[in-house]
Amino acid sequence: MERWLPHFALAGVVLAYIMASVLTPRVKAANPQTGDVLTQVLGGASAIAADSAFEQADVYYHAGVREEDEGLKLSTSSARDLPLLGLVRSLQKNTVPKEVRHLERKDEKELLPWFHAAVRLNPHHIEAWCVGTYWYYRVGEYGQAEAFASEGIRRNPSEYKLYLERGVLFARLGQYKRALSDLEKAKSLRPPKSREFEWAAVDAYLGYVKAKLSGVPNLPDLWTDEHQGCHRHH
Amino acid sequence: MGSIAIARLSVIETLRRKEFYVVLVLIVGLAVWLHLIEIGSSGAGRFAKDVVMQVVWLASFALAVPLAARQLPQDVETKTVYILLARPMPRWQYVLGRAVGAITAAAICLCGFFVVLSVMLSLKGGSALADPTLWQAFALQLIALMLLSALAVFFSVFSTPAGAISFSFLTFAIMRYGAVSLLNMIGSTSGFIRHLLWPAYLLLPHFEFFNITQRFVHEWGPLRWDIFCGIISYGVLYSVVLIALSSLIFRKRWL
Amino acid sequence: METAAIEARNLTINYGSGRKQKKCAVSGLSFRVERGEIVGFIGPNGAGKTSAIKALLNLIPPPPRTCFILGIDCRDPRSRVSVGYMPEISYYPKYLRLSEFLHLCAALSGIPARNRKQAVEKVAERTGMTSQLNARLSSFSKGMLQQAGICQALLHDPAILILDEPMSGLDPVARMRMRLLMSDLRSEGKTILFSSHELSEIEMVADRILLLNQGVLLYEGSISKLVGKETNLEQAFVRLLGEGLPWAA
Repeated sequence: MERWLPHFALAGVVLAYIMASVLTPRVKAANPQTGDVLTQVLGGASAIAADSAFEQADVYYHAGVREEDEGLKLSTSSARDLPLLGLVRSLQKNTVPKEVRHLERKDEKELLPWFHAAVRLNPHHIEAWCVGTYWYYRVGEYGQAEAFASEGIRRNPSEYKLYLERGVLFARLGQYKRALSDLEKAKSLRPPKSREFEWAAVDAYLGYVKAKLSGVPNLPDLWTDEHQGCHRHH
Repeated sequence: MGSIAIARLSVIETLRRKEFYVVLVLIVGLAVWLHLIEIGSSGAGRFAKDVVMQVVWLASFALAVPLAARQLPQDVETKTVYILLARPMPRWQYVLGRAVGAITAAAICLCGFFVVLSVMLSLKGGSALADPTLWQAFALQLIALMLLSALAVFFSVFSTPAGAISFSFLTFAIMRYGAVSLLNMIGSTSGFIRHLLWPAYLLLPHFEFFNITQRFVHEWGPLRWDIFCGIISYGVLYSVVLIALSSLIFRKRWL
Repeated sequence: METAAIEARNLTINYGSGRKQKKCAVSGLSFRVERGEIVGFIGPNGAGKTSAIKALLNLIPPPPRTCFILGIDCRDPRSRVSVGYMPEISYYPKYLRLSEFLHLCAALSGIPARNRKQAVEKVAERTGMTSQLNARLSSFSKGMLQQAGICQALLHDPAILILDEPMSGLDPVARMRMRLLMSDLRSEGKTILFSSHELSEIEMVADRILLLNQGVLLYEGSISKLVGKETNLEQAFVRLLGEGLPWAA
């Protein structure tokens, strides 16, 4: 029996890995056959790792607080009859950041490395490309934002969301002609029907940019701070 | 006392093996790479701090567990234990010496990694080195290493080194990354199942208490000192119990 | 009666536990080794010699009050204060140098720190290992490892030496040195219990022998009495084993 115990443990780990690979990835993974060395070594796990890196950006935005840390007090509220529960929860909560707060403006650049890590691990992580572009814009690095989005398009030339994101970026920067080109490209690439926010957003932004280029008077400025809260990335 | 001599033997063996130096070189390389390149944006320092600290954590555990897990089985397999135990030394001193030696060797490795981390932090500027959270993180990580090493020694008394390593890493991974989920799961049960699971949960070593990396990286400030001392005491006490149990089991073992 | 250096009283060792069939390694073994004598422990492979020696050293915990060294129960660590042991297979911590290994053994034997260096140098000189003190044990040949084994056994000047196959792997010159050493040790008043397959070596050195077969003591006494009218010990040994085997005619 003693000889077989480590094999059982290893089998458990392998099984957990398989389950995680099957259940966890939400995005298309990099192709292990054609990917770079890192992708080939990690295989399907690179998608999981990329997801983790992307989620880390969210954790960083909340100054280190994870979703499950906030959930502690909710899920065990009914378990007050267990001895030492209060002590255990107190220790768990004290060793991690626990208040809900966001990064200060000057520290928002701390998120950016995680987007790079996510797309490095999985170049087909469209959400990472899109959100990363937005955050580059938000911290004021406009050139980097354009470069990041362009690189995402180069690696995923048929993804309409990336053209949408770059188009919105150009529109924010007042480069409406370039915005028009990208938004029209996004419209041509998008699927015939979809319930995704981005699908409808293509038309909305396209209309706005055309109106701007046509010189329609008194158009609201969509990129003020008040409007930032409406953008899906917030 | 015999334990000190045995502990010294473990430390010498570790330092004369090559693994520590290989890992140290890798960590230095990683720190240099992270320092030289700008990922994302200039001034984004948390990423480098976070990555290097996590690597230091993982590397020190990756070194400590196999080291501790093979102390006793290796001696028994090579029959080196005959020479050691044919002396007027009770077996518990031998087990204690091996355990303390493994813990000391792991602590030396961790100190080496932390020196690299400290150099990297000082080169990045800022007041990270003066932050008491960093030193609390270092102390807690030392105690976590002690606890994990003691756990590996405990498993090695009645399992093979491979088994001891597997069980130790599995226990560590479950408690470090899943302790909160486990707690939530127990909270959602009721009756007999809950009263069965809860003591088992309490008895497991709670490695999640020992990692305050995120507090340091995101500048949340140090732990309250009573909590800090409490966690340290928990780790030390748990380690002592594991080593005592290991001694009790090894006492009757036929060699 | 003076306390024997080594004494076994009805020692029984059974391997296996629970549902596994128990294998009897030693059954009802009783013997005495008086102070100052050299006793040879002989028997075929699997006779129980090593198991008996392990019981004396508590490497296999014996039943209570069955094994004694200088009157102290072998389960008590104090019984090993005056014992020097050399195992059959010489495996030592390979990352250590000989001097470091001997310092370790000195510390474990209770030699005070201020006396260790002198003790190490003295035993190295006695066994001709002075030039090897700074060499790593991993670079030692089998013969040198045996020498290292003798060094660590003699380091704390024990009154009793238990040697398991001390001649194993040694060339003829080294064997002669070992025999001479054992004679010297006897003249110093040391007690030696050693096991060996080399009956000729036993004949040359031992005062008495203990002949073990399948865990049972077949003979305890002088060699001359055992040999009797046989040509040598080997013939007597084979004869006795033949008489001791259950299927012998």
